Amino acid sequence: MIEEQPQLIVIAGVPGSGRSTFAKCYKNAFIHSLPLMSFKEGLSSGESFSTILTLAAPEDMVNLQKAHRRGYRITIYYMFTGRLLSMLRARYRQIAEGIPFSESSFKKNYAASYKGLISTYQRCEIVFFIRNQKEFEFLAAYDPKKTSLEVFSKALKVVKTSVDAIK
Amino acid sequence: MRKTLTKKIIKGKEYFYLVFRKNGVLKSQYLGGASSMKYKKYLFKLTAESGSYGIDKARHKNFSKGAPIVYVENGFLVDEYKNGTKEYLNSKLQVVKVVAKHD
Repeated sequence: MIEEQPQLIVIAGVPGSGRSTFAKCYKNAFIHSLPLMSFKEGLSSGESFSTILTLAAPEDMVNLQKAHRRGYRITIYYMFTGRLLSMLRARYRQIAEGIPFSESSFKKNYAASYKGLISTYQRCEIVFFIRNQKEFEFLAAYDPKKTSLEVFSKALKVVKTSVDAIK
Repeated sequence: MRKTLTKKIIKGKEYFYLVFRKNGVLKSQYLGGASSMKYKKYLFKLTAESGSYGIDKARHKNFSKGAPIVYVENGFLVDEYKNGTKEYLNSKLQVVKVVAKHD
């Protein structure tokens, strides 16, 4: 008997990259078929689910490892916005909500998120690159079975550099 | 044409179909399993559909909180306010141009 593998959709990116907006915009298509919940809730349910992560926190990595070990098929939608743009978005939002904004902690998370994506890549079934500098634009899709980690890392660096470039 | 993604599980394996109505007749289009190229291309297509929907949501959310929306236009960062005024910023976050909306 073949057991059904649960699916995990991760909408990832730094704060201010538009992850929650993306989840809302595409909910009628594919994400809608899976409930959007926290990682802890989803993993404990054992069912397919979608979640939003920065991939910057060490617990994100631990949770993704756990999901992979439990047989989850992991799909990542990674949002690229650029450092300054996502920082401004996060800053405006936090100020509007009355939360102090820490630029140093944002910068730390920004770098850690890309590292997190690289370290998670080989546990994924597919990774989509989405640019969100004004509208959501599909850039590429990488399948670890077909694209090596080295090629993926290079592609990630190219996209990161392009979105970071502001006149 | 609205097409709904449908999943069927047969003997523990997942298969995907697009179900839609054409000339009043219900039709389905087989995409294959989760690893099939047809299914992956369908997902690519969804993410490739760019539109103003996301930015409209951001406008509504931010403006209701009194915050501007920020995006990139012609290589500059743009702060757009509720009254339609746009501030263009450079990489040092200096305002290089202001465009006010006129009625």
